[in-house]
Amino acid sequence: MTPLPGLITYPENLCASCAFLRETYNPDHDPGGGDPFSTFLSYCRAFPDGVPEDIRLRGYDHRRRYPGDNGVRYRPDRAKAGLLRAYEALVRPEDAGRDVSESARAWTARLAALRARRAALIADIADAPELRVAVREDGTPVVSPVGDAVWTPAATRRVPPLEPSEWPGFTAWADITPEHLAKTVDTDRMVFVNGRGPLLVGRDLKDVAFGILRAARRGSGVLEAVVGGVVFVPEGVGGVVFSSRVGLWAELGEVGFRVVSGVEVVGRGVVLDRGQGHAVRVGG
Amino acid sequence: MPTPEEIDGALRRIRTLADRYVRALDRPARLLTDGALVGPVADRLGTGLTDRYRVVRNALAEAFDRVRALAGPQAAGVTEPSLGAPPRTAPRSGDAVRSGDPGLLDRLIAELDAAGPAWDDAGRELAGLLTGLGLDAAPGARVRTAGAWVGAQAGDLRRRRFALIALGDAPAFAAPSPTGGEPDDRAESPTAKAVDLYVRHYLPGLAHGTKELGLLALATNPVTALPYAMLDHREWLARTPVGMLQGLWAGREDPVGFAKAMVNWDLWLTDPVRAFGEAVPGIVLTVATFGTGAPANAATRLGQTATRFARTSPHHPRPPDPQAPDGHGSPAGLDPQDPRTPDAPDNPKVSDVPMGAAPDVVVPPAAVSPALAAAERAAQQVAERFGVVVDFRSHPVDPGNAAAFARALENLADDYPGVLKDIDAIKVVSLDGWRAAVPHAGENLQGATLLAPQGGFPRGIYLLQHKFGDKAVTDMRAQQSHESGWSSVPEGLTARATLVHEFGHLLGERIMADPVLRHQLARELREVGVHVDPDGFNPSIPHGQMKVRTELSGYGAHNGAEMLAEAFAEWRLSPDPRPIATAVGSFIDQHFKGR
Repeated sequence: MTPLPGLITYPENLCASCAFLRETYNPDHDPGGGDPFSTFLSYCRAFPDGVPEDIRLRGYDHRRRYPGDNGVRYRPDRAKAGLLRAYEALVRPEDAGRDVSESARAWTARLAALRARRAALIADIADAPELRVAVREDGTPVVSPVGDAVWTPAATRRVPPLEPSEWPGFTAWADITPEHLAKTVDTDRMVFVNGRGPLLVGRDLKDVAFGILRAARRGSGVLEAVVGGVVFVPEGVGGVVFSSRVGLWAELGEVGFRVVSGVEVVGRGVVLDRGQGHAVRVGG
Repeated sequence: MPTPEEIDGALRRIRTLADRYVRALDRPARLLTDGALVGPVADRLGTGLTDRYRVVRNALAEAFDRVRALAGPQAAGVTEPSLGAPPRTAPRSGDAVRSGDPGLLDRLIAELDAAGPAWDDAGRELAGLLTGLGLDAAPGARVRTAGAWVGAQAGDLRRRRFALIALGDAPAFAAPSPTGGEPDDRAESPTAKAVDLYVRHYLPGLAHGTKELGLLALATNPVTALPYAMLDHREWLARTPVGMLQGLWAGREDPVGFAKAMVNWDLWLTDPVRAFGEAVPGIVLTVATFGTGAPANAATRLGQTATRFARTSPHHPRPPDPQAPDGHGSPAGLDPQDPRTPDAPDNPKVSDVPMGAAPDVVVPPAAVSPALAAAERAAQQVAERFGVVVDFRSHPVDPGNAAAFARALENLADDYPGVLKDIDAIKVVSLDGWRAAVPHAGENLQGATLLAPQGGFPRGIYLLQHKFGDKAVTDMRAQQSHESGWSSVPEGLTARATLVHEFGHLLGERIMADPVLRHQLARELREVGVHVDPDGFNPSIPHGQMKVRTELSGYGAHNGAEMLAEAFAEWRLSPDPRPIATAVGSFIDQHFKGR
């Protein structure tokens, strides 16, 4: 549904005056009412995949604990003291300190959906017939700041040249393997695939066992791939392993995990990549 | 990589542009010195011209340096452009403030008229040169912004020329701004001020006072009471003894408020000339009857007071509002005793707003104050020329916000009359009432524009009551919103800016409906670095979006329509609009202003 033209007020939040806040464009946003979140992606040290709407839109005071913040809290940015005072004046104490346990669970579910989209895109990249990255004259990937993040464009199909005024230094699309792409990009780099969302974050690409993932996708040689590689094993959940951290978190939430040799898990039999289309039982 | 020939050609062209255009303000400055204008307004214009000269000079110098840097060391000795000196303006000032010479004023207008577009052309060419060499086009955009400012001064002077010459006195126009300023900001002579007070304050007050006396007579006369009741039952009831008794009863609960209402205290505080005008019919009645009419006059005044108090007292139950959840006009949680400041400053200190003030459930205690009614009348006087219905009272807001709506409307009506003809209503609505028409409306909604009738609301501009209940809170939120980059101008979410933003949607609609205009504006935007698709007008992903986010506003990045509305708001309200706002604003003015 196309929104009516109008004007909405900026939601009072602590984020605006927080030293940790970062923002970039969110190509995954669907203003027509689809997923996810909003036109711009607000993220920070506490919430690297996106600040919960309780805090960003509904005034929750993140000087208090919020589920999933890993102990990282609001840090005031001295240059934005006015925004902190405005927050304190405009947000009712009962909103700032309300019980968020229920809404935090709902947010976790939405994050899981976002991670599932990222996991699906990583799977597509893993066995795409062709993968290209935008490169500069010296062959290094194009990097371009978009807000607070740095983006690198990639593509799994033939795409037209990029606009040089927007992607400085672009000279060509160059073939690249998923493994090489993961090695090339920094942990915080946003990889922008096929001109649309979701964005892949460098750290998500680095935590992928591409060989195992490819084998699972094509449905052959999985056992050999697992035995010869490493898998992600969630803490406290038995019988499942994953070929990527983002896939694990999409299925189980942000739980702890270990990276172990596949040999250690195949003996007792496990399900690989539960929750994804290519999930398969291995060993046992 | 540009070739040495291309670089050399660009350097020569920048020198030519400097020779041709940098002194474009010399003649307007000389006319100022010669007495085309005098007094503080001339001083401000002179200062503004000097400032813009500096902007253009620096932009050309920067462009030249950037291009020269491309050529490397061998270009160190190339001839620099001649950038002249600031225009010399020494307007006559002092106490003897006059409009200046009409002939010189016309020439000044003509010179500014020529200089503005000339700089626009120069800026456009400079931007093209720089872009062609792979350089940032910002210097060109700055020259265009300066040109737009100069052109706007010509339009401002032309619009007020008649008043200047007719008064033969002080200039009655606004301080330099791209689009004309607020009436309050205008420098006025005693004569102009007297004329303004007489026409805009005393006469409406006199008319209102006479009308009130007449309506009271109609409501209580047995012959006319019935037709009056059939025409407007609520107003009739308020003027009958029943309504007056209700007012008197409410006065018993609040004697101080009643005493103030007896002399229309709010109006005496906010507009004493108008209040005096309202009192004159009663005074005349007393004098004409050599005092014998005084008792009747006193009774009449008491009746008027009781009527007014019956309508406005917080102690008196207001007519039920079918749009309100509890059946009354005020939202749940309203504290009618909460003191509020109708005339809060535009940039309130944070301390003006109590901690956790829960602003969205606050409306003024004296919901329909005379000041609010006056603001509505002022807006209606403007709007009725175009067949537009104004309603600020059915869902009361802070009178200060309502007055800001009215002033914004007046300025917009002057400049874009054709757009106003095209809508039916400008109204304040409750959120619940609005949700009946637009179910997904969120609590953060501040204003909306209906481009087609919907849910019983006609085409028009709608302002959400809960966002305008307290001007201090509205203004504070506006300030916060700008600091966070959400809105384009410092006052982006004030009452005035909200109305301007919504009006921008009406202009944007016209652009979006015309493929030729869409493509033209898309080209203009490309020159300032924003790539949009000419059909949906959405900025490119991600850089166009991000550029709009950082160089216009976060809200403007939502879609093409909001980008145009935000750019228009900045163009109208910022003293120094940035390139995106200038591109959109000057385009809009070129195609719609004065039409």
